[in-house]
Amino acid sequence: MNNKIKEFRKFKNITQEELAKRLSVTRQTVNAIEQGKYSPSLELAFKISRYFEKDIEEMFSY
Amino acid sequence: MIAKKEWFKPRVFGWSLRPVTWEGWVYIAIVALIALFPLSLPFNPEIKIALCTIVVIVFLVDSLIVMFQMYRALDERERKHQMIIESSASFAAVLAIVLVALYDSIASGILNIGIFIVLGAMVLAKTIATIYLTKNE
Repeated sequence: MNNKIKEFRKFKNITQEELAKRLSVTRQTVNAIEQGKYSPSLELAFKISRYFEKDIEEMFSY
Repeated sequence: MIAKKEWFKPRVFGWSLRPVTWEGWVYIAIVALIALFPLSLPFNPEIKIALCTIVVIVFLVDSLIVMFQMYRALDERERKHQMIIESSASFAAVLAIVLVALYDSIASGILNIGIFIVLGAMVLAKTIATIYLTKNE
Protein backbone atom coordinates (compact mmCIF):
# COMPACT_ATOMS: atom_id res chain seq x y z
CA MET A 1 0.00 0.00 0.00
CA ASN A 2 1.36 3.42 -0.97
CA ASN A 3 0.53 6.73 0.63
CA LYS A 4 1.18 10.44 0.30
CA ILE A 5 1.55 11.22 3.99
CA LYS A 6 5.11 12.49 3.70
CA GLU A 7 4.15 14.74 0.80
CA PHE A 8 1.14 16.24 2.61
CA ARG A 9 3.06 16.47 5.86
CA LYS A 10 5.84 18.44 4.18
CA PHE A 11 3.23 20.66 2.53
CA LYS A 12 1.68 21.34 5.92
CA ASN A 13 5.16 21.90 7.32
CA ILE A 14 4.84 19.63 10.34
CA THR A 15 7.27 17.07 11.73
CA GLN A 16 6.66 13.36 12.18
CA GLU A 17 6.67 13.99 15.93
CA GLU A 18 3.88 16.59 15.67
CA LEU A 19 1.81 14.38 13.39
CA ALA A 20 2.32 11.43 15.72
CA LYS A 21 1.06 13.51 18.65
CA ARG A 22 -2.05 14.52 16.68
CA LEU A 23 -2.77 10.90 15.79
CA SER A 24 -1.94 9.50 19.26
CA VAL A 25 0.73 7.18 17.88
CA THR A 26 4.51 7.14 18.16
CA ARG A 27 6.86 8.90 15.76
CA GLN A 28 8.21 5.49 14.77
CA THR A 29 4.72 4.45 13.66
CA VAL A 30 4.32 7.57 11.49
CA ASN A 31 7.74 6.86 9.99
CA ALA A 32 6.86 3.19 9.33
CA ILE A 33 3.61 4.21 7.60
CA GLU A 34 5.35 6.87 5.49
CA GLN A 35 7.96 4.37 4.38
CA GLY A 36 5.30 1.79 3.52
CA LYS A 37 6.64 -0.66 6.10
CA TYR A 38 3.41 -0.68 8.10
CA SER A 39 -0.17 -0.54 6.81
CA PRO A 40 -2.35 1.38 9.25
CA SER A 41 -5.73 0.14 10.45
CA LEU A 42 -8.80 1.58 8.75
CA GLU A 43 -9.42 3.71 11.83
CA LEU A 44 -5.93 5.20 11.75
CA ALA A 45 -6.10 5.66 7.97
CA PHE A 46 -9.31 7.70 8.40
CA LYS A 47 -7.73 9.70 11.21
CA ILE A 48 -4.77 10.55 8.94
CA SER A 49 -7.01 11.49 6.02
CA ARG A 50 -9.21 13.66 8.22
CA TYR A 51 -6.21 15.38 9.73
CA PHE A 52 -4.98 16.37 6.27
CA GLU A 53 -8.58 17.08 5.12
CA LYS A 54 -8.24 14.68 2.21
CA ASP A 55 -10.23 11.71 0.95
CA ILE A 56 -8.85 8.37 2.04
CA GLU A 57 -8.41 7.37 -1.64
CA GLU A 58 -6.34 10.48 -2.19
CA MET A 59 -4.13 9.66 0.75
CA PHE A 60 -3.73 5.91 0.25
CA SER A 61 -3.52 3.77 -2.86
CA TYR A 62 -3.26 0.03 -3.41
CA MET B 1 0.22 3.16 42.71
CA ILE B 2 3.60 4.74 43.48
CA ALA B 3 5.70 4.54 40.31
CA LYS B 4 4.92 6.36 37.05
CA LYS B 5 5.20 4.77 33.64
CA GLU B 6 7.22 7.73 32.32
CA TRP B 7 10.06 6.69 34.64
CA PHE B 8 10.57 3.34 32.90
CA LYS B 9 10.84 1.56 29.57
CA PRO B 10 10.15 -2.13 28.96
CA ARG B 11 13.27 -4.29 28.71
CA VAL B 12 14.15 -5.80 25.35
CA PHE B 13 15.56 -8.86 27.13
CA GLY B 14 12.98 -10.13 29.60
CA TRP B 15 9.77 -8.66 30.92
CA SER B 16 10.78 -6.31 33.66
CA LEU B 17 11.13 -2.53 33.64
CA ARG B 18 14.24 -0.46 32.95
CA PRO B 19 14.57 2.94 34.65
CA VAL B 20 15.10 5.73 32.12
CA THR B 21 14.79 8.78 34.37
CA TRP B 22 16.40 9.68 37.68
CA GLU B 23 12.99 9.25 39.36
CA GLY B 24 12.99 5.62 38.19
CA TRP B 25 16.45 5.01 39.66
CA VAL B 26 15.46 6.73 42.93
CA TYR B 27 12.33 4.56 43.06
CA ILE B 28 14.41 1.36 42.61
CA ALA B 29 16.91 2.52 45.26
CA ILE B 30 14.14 3.35 47.76
CA VAL B 31 12.41 0.01 47.17
CA ALA B 32 15.72 -1.83 47.69
CA LEU B 33 16.37 0.10 50.93
CA ILE B 34 12.84 -0.50 52.23
CA ALA B 35 13.05 -4.19 51.29
CA LEU B 36 16.37 -4.62 53.10
CA PHE B 37 15.49 -2.42 56.10
CA PRO B 38 13.55 -5.15 58.01
CA LEU B 39 16.74 -7.26 58.04
CA SER B 40 18.35 -4.72 60.36
CA LEU B 41 15.45 -4.81 62.84
CA PRO B 42 15.73 -6.81 66.09
CA PHE B 43 13.06 -9.33 65.10
CA ASN B 44 13.32 -13.06 64.62
CA PRO B 45 14.22 -14.24 61.07
CA GLU B 46 10.65 -15.32 60.19
CA ILE B 47 9.27 -11.83 60.84
CA LYS B 48 12.16 -10.21 58.94
CA ILE B 49 11.55 -12.43 55.90
CA ALA B 50 7.79 -11.80 56.10
CA LEU B 51 8.35 -8.02 56.14
CA CYS B 52 10.78 -8.22 53.19
CA THR B 53 8.27 -10.37 51.32
CA ILE B 54 5.48 -7.83 51.88
CA VAL B 55 7.68 -5.02 50.47
CA VAL B 56 8.64 -7.16 47.45
CA ILE B 57 4.97 -8.05 46.79
CA VAL B 58 3.95 -4.37 46.97
CA PHE B 59 6.81 -3.53 44.57
CA LEU B 60 5.79 -6.35 42.18
CA VAL B 61 2.14 -5.23 42.16
CA ASP B 62 3.25 -1.65 41.53
CA SER B 63 5.52 -2.81 38.68
CA LEU B 64 2.69 -4.86 37.16
CA ILE B 65 0.39 -1.80 37.24
CA VAL B 66 3.09 0.26 35.47
CA MET B 67 3.61 -2.49 32.87
CA PHE B 68 -0.16 -2.70 32.29
CA GLN B 69 -0.31 1.08 31.83
CA MET B 70 2.59 0.88 29.37
CA TYR B 71 0.77 -1.81 27.40
CA ARG B 72 -2.39 0.31 27.27
CA ALA B 73 -0.40 3.29 26.00
CA LEU B 74 0.98 1.36 23.01
CA ASP B 75 -0.31 2.31 19.57
CA GLU B 76 -1.67 -0.24 17.08
CA ARG B 77 1.69 -0.99 15.46
CA GLU B 78 3.42 -1.47 18.80
CA ARG B 79 0.56 -3.71 20.01
CA LYS B 80 0.90 -5.86 16.91
CA HIS B 81 4.63 -6.15 17.59
CA GLN B 82 3.96 -6.96 21.24
CA MET B 83 1.51 -9.73 20.29
CA ILE B 84 4.02 -11.32 17.92
CA ILE B 85 6.79 -11.04 20.53
CA GLU B 86 4.66 -12.51 23.33
CA SER B 87 3.28 -15.35 21.19
CA SER B 88 6.81 -16.23 20.02
CA ALA B 89 8.01 -16.27 23.64
CA SER B 90 5.01 -18.41 24.71
CA PHE B 91 5.61 -20.86 21.87
CA ALA B 92 9.30 -21.18 22.79
CA ALA B 93 8.42 -21.63 26.49
CA VAL B 94 5.89 -24.39 25.76
CA LEU B 95 8.31 -26.12 23.40
CA ALA B 96 11.05 -26.03 26.06
CA ILE B 97 8.69 -27.36 28.77
CA VAL B 98 7.53 -30.22 26.54
CA LEU B 99 11.12 -31.12 25.55
CA VAL B 100 12.29 -31.08 29.18
CA ALA B 101 9.31 -33.19 30.25
CA LEU B 102 10.00 -35.64 27.39
CA TYR B 103 13.67 -35.89 28.33
CA ASP B 104 12.69 -36.37 31.97
CA SER B 105 10.25 -39.15 30.99
CA ILE B 106 12.85 -40.95 28.85
CA ALA B 107 15.62 -40.58 31.48
CA SER B 108 13.48 -41.75 34.41
CA GLY B 109 11.39 -44.30 32.51
CA ILE B 110 8.23 -42.79 34.05
CA LEU B 111 5.83 -40.79 31.87
CA ASN B 112 5.82 -37.16 32.98
CA ILE B 113 2.20 -35.97 32.95
CA GLY B 114 3.48 -32.39 32.84
CA ILE B 115 3.49 -32.61 29.02
CA PHE B 116 -0.22 -33.36 28.96
CA ILE B 117 -1.01 -30.59 31.46
CA VAL B 118 0.92 -28.07 29.34
CA LEU B 119 -0.63 -29.23 26.07
CA GLY B 120 -4.09 -29.39 27.69
CA ALA B 121 -3.73 -25.82 29.01
CA MET B 122 -2.64 -24.68 25.53
CA VAL B 123 -5.60 -26.37 23.82
CA LEU B 124 -8.00 -24.91 26.41
CA ALA B 125 -6.60 -21.37 26.10
CA LYS B 126 -6.65 -21.58 22.29
CA THR B 127 -10.22 -22.89 22.24
CA ILE B 128 -11.50 -20.19 24.62
CA ALA B 129 -9.70 -17.45 22.67
CA THR B 130 -10.98 -18.76 19.31
CA ILE B 131 -14.60 -19.00 20.52
CA TYR B 132 -14.44 -15.56 22.13
CA LEU B 133 -12.93 -13.89 19.05
CA THR B 134 -15.28 -15.67 16.60
CA LYS B 135 -18.31 -14.59 18.60
CA ASN B 136 -17.21 -11.02 19.17
CA GLU B 137 -15.61 -10.13 15.85
